[in-house]
Amino acid sequence: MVLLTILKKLKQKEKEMRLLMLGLDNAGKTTILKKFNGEDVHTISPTLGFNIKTLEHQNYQLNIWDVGGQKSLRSYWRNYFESTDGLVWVVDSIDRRRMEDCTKELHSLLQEERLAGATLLVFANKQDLPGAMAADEIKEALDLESIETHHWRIVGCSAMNGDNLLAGIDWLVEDIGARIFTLE
Amino acid sequence: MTLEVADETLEKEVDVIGLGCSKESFTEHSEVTNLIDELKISVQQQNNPTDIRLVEKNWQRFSFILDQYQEQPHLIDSHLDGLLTKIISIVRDEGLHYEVKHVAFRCLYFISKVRGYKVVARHLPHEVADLEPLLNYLENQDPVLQLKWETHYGLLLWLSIVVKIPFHLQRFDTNTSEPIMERILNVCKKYVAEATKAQDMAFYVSAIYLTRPDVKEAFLPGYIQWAHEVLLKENAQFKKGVISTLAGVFKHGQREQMMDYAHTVLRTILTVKFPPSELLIVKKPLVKLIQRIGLTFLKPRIATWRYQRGSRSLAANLLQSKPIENKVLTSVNDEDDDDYDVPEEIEEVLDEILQALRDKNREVQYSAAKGIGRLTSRLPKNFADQVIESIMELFSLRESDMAWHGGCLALAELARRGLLLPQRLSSVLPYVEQAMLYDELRGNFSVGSAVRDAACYLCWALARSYDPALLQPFVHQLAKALVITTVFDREVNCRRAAASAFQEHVGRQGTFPHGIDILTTCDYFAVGLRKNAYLQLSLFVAQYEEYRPHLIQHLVERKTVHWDTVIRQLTSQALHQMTFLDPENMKIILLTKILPRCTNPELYLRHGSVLAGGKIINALCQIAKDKQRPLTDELDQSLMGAIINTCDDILNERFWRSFGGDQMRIAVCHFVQDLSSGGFPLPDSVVDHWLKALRECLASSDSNVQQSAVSAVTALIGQYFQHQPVEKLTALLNHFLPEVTSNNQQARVGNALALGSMPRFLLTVSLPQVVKQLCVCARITDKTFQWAESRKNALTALSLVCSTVGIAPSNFDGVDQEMFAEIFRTLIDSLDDYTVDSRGDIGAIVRESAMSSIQVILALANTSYPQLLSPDMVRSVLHAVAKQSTEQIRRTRLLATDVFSSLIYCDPAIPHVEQLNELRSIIPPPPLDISTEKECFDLWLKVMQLNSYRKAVIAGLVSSIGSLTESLVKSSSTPFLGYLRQLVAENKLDELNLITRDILDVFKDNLNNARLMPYIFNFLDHILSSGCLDVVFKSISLSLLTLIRTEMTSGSKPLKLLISSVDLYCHLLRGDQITFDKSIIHLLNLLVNRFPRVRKITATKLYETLLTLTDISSSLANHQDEILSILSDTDWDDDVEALKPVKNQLRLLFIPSSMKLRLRQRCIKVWSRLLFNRAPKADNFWKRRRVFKLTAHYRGRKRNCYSIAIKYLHRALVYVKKGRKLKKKDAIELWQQRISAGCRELGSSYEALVRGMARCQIALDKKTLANLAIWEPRTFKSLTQIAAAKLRQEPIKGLNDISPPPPGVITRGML
Repeated sequence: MVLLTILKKLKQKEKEMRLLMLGLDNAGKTTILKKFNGEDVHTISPTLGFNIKTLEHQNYQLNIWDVGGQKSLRSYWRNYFESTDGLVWVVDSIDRRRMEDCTKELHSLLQEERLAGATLLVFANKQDLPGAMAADEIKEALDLESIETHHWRIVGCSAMNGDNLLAGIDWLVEDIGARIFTLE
Repeated sequence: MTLEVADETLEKEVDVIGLGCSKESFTEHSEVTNLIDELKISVQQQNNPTDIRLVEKNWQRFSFILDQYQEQPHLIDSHLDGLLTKIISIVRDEGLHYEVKHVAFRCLYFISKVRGYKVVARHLPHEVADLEPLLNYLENQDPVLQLKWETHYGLLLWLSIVVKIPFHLQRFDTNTSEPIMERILNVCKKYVAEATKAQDMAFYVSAIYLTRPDVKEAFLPGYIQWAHEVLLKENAQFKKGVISTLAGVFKHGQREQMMDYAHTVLRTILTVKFPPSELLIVKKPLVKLIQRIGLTFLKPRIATWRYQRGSRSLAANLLQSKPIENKVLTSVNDEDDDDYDVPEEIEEVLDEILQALRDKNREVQYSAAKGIGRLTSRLPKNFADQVIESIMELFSLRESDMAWHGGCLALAELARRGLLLPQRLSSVLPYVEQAMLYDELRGNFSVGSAVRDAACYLCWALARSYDPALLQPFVHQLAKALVITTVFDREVNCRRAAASAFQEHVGRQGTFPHGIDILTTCDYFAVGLRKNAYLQLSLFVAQYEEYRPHLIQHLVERKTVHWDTVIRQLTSQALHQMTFLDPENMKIILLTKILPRCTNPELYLRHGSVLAGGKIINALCQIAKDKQRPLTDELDQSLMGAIINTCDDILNERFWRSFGGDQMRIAVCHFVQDLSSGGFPLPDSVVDHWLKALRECLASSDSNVQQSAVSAVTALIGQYFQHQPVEKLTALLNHFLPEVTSNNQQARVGNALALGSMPRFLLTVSLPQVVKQLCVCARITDKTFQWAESRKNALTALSLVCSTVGIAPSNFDGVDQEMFAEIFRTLIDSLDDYTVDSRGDIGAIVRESAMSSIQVILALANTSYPQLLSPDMVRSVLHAVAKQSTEQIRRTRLLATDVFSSLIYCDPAIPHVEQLNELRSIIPPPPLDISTEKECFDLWLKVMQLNSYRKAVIAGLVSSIGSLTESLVKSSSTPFLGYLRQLVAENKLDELNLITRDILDVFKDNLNNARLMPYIFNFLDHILSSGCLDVVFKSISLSLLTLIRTEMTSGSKPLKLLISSVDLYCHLLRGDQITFDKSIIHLLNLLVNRFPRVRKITATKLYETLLTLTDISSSLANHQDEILSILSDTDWDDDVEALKPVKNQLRLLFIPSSMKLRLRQRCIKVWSRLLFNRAPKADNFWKRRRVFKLTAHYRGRKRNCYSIAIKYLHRALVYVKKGRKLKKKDAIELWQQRISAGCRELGSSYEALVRGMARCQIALDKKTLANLAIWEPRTFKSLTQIAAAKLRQEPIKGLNDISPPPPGVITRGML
């Protein structure tokens, strides 16, 4: 089909990536996205529906899809034009109670065929709050070492003051870039 | 149009995306390097016979490895240098042949295909020293030689980097040859003309080369002049090359400098007229060139007026300490907008490109759309506005679908670049909405799916480019259009495109009503199935008030008139469901829109409306029923009246007879069915009217019409005749009964099925009559033997009738004993229905239907009245089904196995089943899961080992092992032969004898059965040649011979059977002496058969058999050589009378005449008793020696191993025979060639020489003449002269006098 080829070409030319931001509710996904977008992060209510933002970073165009607390909005993971290149999994570092849920959700997510090959970045959010679990601790809890199907990394961060967000996203973009795009 | 195919490819492609990015690194690096080496070596050794398969395999592997990296070519980068060095070193090696280098270039091409030629070119060496050899190489190649295009491609690719050397090219000139600069140019010109892949490279090189500063000055004007000439004269491919070169020149050259030429080139290409056939090839580069020229006229600048959405840099945003207002920043500085001039040529350029948007080729359209985008971004605001204005003109009903498609692409391109200003949106969006529904009928297909797809793409682009606030006013419009396309488009790609555009809008704009709910349900995968989209998704969307009216309106206005019948059917079903959501609205639509259209002369409209009307009324009836109100309260008077009127009107004759009558009949049948099952109160007159019409439909020749008529009739009778008096029912039944045995096949087919599906109250009126008629219909008579369909339906109807009324002899209403026996007989007889017509074995459908019916009826009888089943009945059923289970047709076999299995596992068990427990241990309970043929045959072979079923299974196996399909023969014979071998190995001769006895029984039962006999013969040949029966062969050979003889001597037999009988007789030669003698007599008779083919085959087969026969009598052994030579040397094509003496001679040799046969037999019996009860064995040694003498010069086991040697010897002898004829032909050809060469050398011709000599009475033959021409040239010369002189006296038309020898011929001269 002609249109498909057009879109494939556009993607290569304009260096587009599609990132999916997922996580349990109240993990801070929308806050991170707003921070990326330079908006006010102090007045955020639970996301109903979802947000797509297009941002530029390191000469790439990032389409970030922030899918709200809904359990499965699987239709976003892949559609006519694009597939998901990267996955940002946001974890609420102080919510120890639901860490088990979080692990289960993440692992079942990675089984999904439509996410095959996507790079996984785990943001251990809310590091600025007292009592937060450290990134290494969360790595253990989420059993990240067992993941072999995806490239992954965990980064501790804080959406409120923006710590480490850039580092995480830098790694993600580089990893995807090396996978998908030609470095010229 | 291949819409379906397109759908499939689409799905394949979609699935590839994203999954292709799974590689981590270029792991096969070393393997690729080795492959290059191997390929090189295999070419170098071309003189030796290298294994061509290996070479092919290596190429396959090479391209496979590289193709894996198509999606992530950059992974190769790290190894690219190594690979290229290897290839270049082969190319540079002076000592290697061009063929070897071609391999290297081929590898280079594969690599550049994956990695892209631009990148590969950068990695190639660009040393000055390479230039000269490279040029020489290119000049030595012949561009016309298309097989070598990879070499040309590689060389030109390399040249493209080498010509970039930063020195003035004049410095490399030597005095001896042409200047380098011209040489390069000439090479480029030469290759630009060729229609191979190398052309792409040629114009790439040319463009780079011509934009070198030194070359540009010297040659570019000349080149443009030359290009002009080419465009006027040459062929399309050449023109394409030249235009592409110029496009490249304008791309690579500096804008200011190219300005000088832009005008000239533009004039040239605008004045040249291309014929339409060439435009197909030339158009795309042409559009590119025009676009580039346009860009040359305009200064590169970023349009200040373009629309931008806020700051988007992630890093910058993060660094900002405080949040900014994310506000729309549309910079509006108009002041510097019109301060530069636009050259006049731009008008022309834009005009051309806008025209190209209407092109038929989508690539051209896309190229033009991109061109518009690029040009517009450099134009001032006013001018750009005009461009958009003219794009909008494409969206007019007078324009073709291509124009709409191009327009959508161009708008999407502009929107993506921010050049479509928000003010324009209000005028653009109505067109988007229209394009989304674009569908134009062309004959019996429609165009427009591409337009709809492109419109979705445009929506998608809009969603990405604009701020939510800007699109807010249009949300309703967009949402409506997108949702409708998502659920109701005919094409899967459009539905998916609309779904993802919708998703994009919801995500980015967030303003679509119920967006999230809808897109979660209608996602990419859910819309894939059209039926699902129409019936499930649409219902989901319709629950929202915002969308429902639009959906319904769209269905009624657009989809009930859709050109595709399937869509109209789906539409009616969708409307049926939506009626429940909004009955009041639907009533109005029904009254005002749908019912009036039911009598519209337009076929699609009428058909769609009748279907939809029926479904809606049905739904309304159900609603009334749910509310427990009479329908008359629910619907008002006018609507009821309109419906009843329509019921009559749709039966109007003229709608039935005209075009599309069959479709209308189906629609009306559905209408009747819907109204009946809904319980709509109908006046009697309408019912009678309908019944008449439906009876006519039952006899229709279209099976779809029949099917729907059957369901309609059943529904109608079930609803309206339930409480009618018996007289009326009898009258009704009497309409159907005679039709079942009518003289029209179609009437039988339809009415039989209809009768089967009648309700109980009607059938019981006259059950014996019904059963009798159906049985008559199911029987084969002379007149009806071809009517398999009607028999099939009759059998199905019988089982249906039985299950409707039940089997109960005691009860007055049920099927009694007599009827049951009748039905049963009919069914069993039908299992022997092997009707054949042009479609093949159509009896199969009758047998299948019979088996299914038997299963149903047996189960019924078994539960209700088991006493009815006698042992004979059960046995005959099981045997017949077992036979079907091993026959030829796969479908029948599986069905039969299934039926068999369900019969033996019936609950409660059917009485009188023989060996039931053994059967149950072999066959698993239903449902069976048999996927391969082998499984099926393995299963039945086990059943064969049971005494009661052996014969039945063998009877089936005969037809599958004896069939012609190789795979079937293989899968059926392997287990059977395996079983026989096992018996032999375990020495179970009793079993073996039983099997052979059954085989002979099957043969005996089917004597003179013309259908089965070829199968039996093939089967026997197969079994006998496998050698499994050798142990018991002697004991059965005589009875087998008797059977074959009985078969072959009764009546005339087809040729095929005669030929197969030869095989069998030859097998019988291995039997005991009596059989041998008798078979020989038959074979000798076949040697003088009236068909030459039979004679020849008999001779060959007999020869082969005698050669390989091991134990022959001593007298025969003495004569064997003589017999063999007679057999091989006689020409069996001769007249029969001439052959009779030969036959007699053979007969004497086989059977000494002094003895009468009987006497001889007795003697032999005595003799054999004397010689330890066995025939004296011939001496193998001599037989073998004779063969080995002939194979003495073979190599390997062919020489010393008899069984191999004899095979090769036979083949060799066949060649020898063929060679004897060929040799003569070849020799004559050679002489003729030599003579004619000699003649032509002397200016004469073969014809003249031969005819001249013939007139002079010189009788020299060709061989002599050829010798003279070579060794005695002077004699030959005088002969030609004599012949020429004679011809001069008596001229023959067309033959010239001796002319002087042709110039330029170098001869040996006279010796």
